[in-house]
Amino acid sequence: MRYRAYTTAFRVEARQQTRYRGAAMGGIVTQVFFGLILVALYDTLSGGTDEGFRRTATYVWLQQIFFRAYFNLDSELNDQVMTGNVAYSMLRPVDLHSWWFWRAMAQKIITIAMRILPMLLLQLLLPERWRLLPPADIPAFVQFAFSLLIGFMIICQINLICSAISMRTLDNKGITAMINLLMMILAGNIIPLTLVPDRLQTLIRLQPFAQLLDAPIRMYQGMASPGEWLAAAALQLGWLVLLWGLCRWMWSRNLLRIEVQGG
Amino acid sequence: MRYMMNAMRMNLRRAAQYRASFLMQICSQIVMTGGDLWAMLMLLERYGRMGHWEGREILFFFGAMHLVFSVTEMINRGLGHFGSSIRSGAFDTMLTRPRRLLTQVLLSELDPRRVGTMAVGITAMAVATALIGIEWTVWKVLLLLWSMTATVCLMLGLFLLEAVICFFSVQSIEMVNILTYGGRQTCQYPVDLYPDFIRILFTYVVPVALCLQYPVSRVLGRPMAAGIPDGLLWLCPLAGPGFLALMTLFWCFGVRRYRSTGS
Amino acid sequence: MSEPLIRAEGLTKRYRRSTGGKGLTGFFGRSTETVDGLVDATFRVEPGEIVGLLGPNGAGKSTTVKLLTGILRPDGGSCSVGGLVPWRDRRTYTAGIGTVFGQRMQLWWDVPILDSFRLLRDIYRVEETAWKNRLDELAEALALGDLLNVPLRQLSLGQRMRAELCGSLLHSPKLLFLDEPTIGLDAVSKLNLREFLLLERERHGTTILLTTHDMADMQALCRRVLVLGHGRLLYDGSLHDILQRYDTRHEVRCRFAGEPVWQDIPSSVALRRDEGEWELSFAPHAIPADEVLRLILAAGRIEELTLKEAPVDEMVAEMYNALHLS
Repeated sequence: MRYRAYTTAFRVEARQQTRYRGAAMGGIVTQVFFGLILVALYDTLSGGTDEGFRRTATYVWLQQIFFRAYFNLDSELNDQVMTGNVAYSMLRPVDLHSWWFWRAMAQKIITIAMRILPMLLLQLLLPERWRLLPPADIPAFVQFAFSLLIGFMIICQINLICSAISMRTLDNKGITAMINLLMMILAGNIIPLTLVPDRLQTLIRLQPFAQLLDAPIRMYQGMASPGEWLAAAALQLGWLVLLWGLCRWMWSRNLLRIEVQGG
Repeated sequence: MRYMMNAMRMNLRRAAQYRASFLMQICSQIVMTGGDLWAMLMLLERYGRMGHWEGREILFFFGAMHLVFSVTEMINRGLGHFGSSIRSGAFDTMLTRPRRLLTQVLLSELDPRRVGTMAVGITAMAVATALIGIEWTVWKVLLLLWSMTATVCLMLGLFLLEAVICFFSVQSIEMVNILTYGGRQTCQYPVDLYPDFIRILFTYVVPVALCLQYPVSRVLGRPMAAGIPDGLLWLCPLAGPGFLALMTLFWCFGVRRYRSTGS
Repeated sequence: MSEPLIRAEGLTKRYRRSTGGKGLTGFFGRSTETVDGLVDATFRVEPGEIVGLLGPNGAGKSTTVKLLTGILRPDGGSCSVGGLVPWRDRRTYTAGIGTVFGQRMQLWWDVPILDSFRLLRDIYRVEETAWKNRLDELAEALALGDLLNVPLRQLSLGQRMRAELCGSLLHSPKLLFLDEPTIGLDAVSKLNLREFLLLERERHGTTILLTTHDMADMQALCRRVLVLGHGRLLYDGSLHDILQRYDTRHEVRCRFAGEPVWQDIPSSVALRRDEGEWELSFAPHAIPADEVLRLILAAGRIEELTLKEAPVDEMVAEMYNALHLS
């Protein structure tokens, strides 16, 4: 019973999101177009090395399918933070951090659920060479799915940390724009992290944004050894725990402050 | 004329009202272009060259495209937000003022923040010039200026198209981004790197290659594999103003429809 | 009689609204229904008049304003204002009108209002000294003197509306459209606004077309109203007359010394006891007031008596009911 409020937050938000189907369709076409441009470019650049190119193409498509969800911001939370109304939601007898967290998770998951099938179907229109490859094997797919879920949780925590900062600074545009841009670069959306020079790649893989989508994609394409998988999964979980803790701490501090100020 | 100057001053003052946020946003603009720049450098690092183009030549194309696009964005902000102008009634207000609608829309929101990205573009071109050792002649400078101006017209035409579509349906707007932002994304690299259908799309349908890349390739003293007859070099950029003129007609049609349907 | 300023003949505007079908189907507009915005409206407005547009939400008031300001183009009929056709001669025409919309600001949000006024000067091509004089005059009448260097967003709602009015009058328009100008304003601001509008008309002979749901505004400003409903013009004439017609409930409250004895109360009078007082309500067109008074006098010795008319909002509600508008 304790968790009913959060499952409700999740369900209500999920239903809300399905209303935006029309906009999602426009987004899908755009996403496929951008993916197409990148794949076509990498095809030329790779100069016929088949194995490497097809892995890159798969990487690009997985990014295009899932990355849009990472951009979703909870506009209601955003409004509440900017207007200061977030104080009123303290009247509800729920843990606020968890409340907003499950709402955000619902947004991400529904965004993906609405996009995944059309995106996969559109793949069939592409020349075979440019298409998304299936996962390496069944365990790889299971690893990928779990890892993706953890990636969602991490981005939700990052978003909530941003909101916590905005509560203080009361300027959300700057910080959101900055985080989104950093994410595009560091999560491998602008250019696959696999194309970054090797030495830099090992470093760049350690930072939290690489846990969002780069780690799941590498699992999808199959890890070299169980040990490598273990290391990647541990790193992802480690970031999740760290950011979760940080975020809860920031939220409780902020709310305390609002209470002291008397809203 | 006085209206124009005063409107520009007004836009500057508006930006200056929020100085901290303004600087922050300039920074994030730079980071965004920086992201594209980073991706380009990573690709060059991995592949050495792109097709038959050397890295420094790619850098020049990149700088020219980003410069053109940021100049366009600086002018066109009002068109970019046109959907919300219709919804908020700001467009109705323009209809009750004794000036040309297009003038009012263009002057309603100039965006001085784009100086950041403009600087990135100019720097890229300057560095590339030094690396290549281009010998500038009057003709080359004139050709470059003419082609960049023409491309700004072309891009404005694209944003105008986007705005006219707002008269019909606000939902399909994300799809039109394919031509504007997708155009920037695609054409930061020479179009002859892409397969035929993309090359033809951005040469003859959305003639970025005719307006910008083909003249630039001549300035660099290199042939471009885009299938454009040589003698027409100075005429090619005319496609830009031509496209804009066509879109202006379409705009008039859109306004007519808006005033007779009032939707 | 002078030439009318506004002349509308059979003015008609219908909207097509798509019923369902979003995205691409909506784009091509497959399934649509027609909604009457305004149908066959004929009216005239003389120079210097203040005319109110009255009607429930969706009655066609905004459509009328949009047609007369040249925002929309009519499907049928004609209208000319001062010899110009609003939608056709848009740029010449709009140079001579002013508009204020209570629901949205037309001045620039982030800059001092003086900057907005300067830009308006350039938009309307007002000559510098004329602009300066006019601004002085308006700033004084609207008490904006200290606020000229404050950005619009920092002003209170009442101050904003004053600034909007000032902006819409800087080019000295002959015709002013006010669409719900007092919405959300406090009592003092409303009174000041009314006073200003009357003054402006007196000084410059400005013709004013006003829509509002505030009947007190309407009564203070307009002698003549156009009542609209479902896109049709239902009444054109004096505000007082139409209200009289729907004035269905007068009330008399009285207290008697001792218990009154009521005799022959007709069915058109409702009698009610309220604590120690008696309340009689009646419709003035069904039974004359002196008749009611006679009944009261006959009932007993009166200690106290008050007579009150129905609140004007109730008359309007009654009118909407009678015209099947609600």
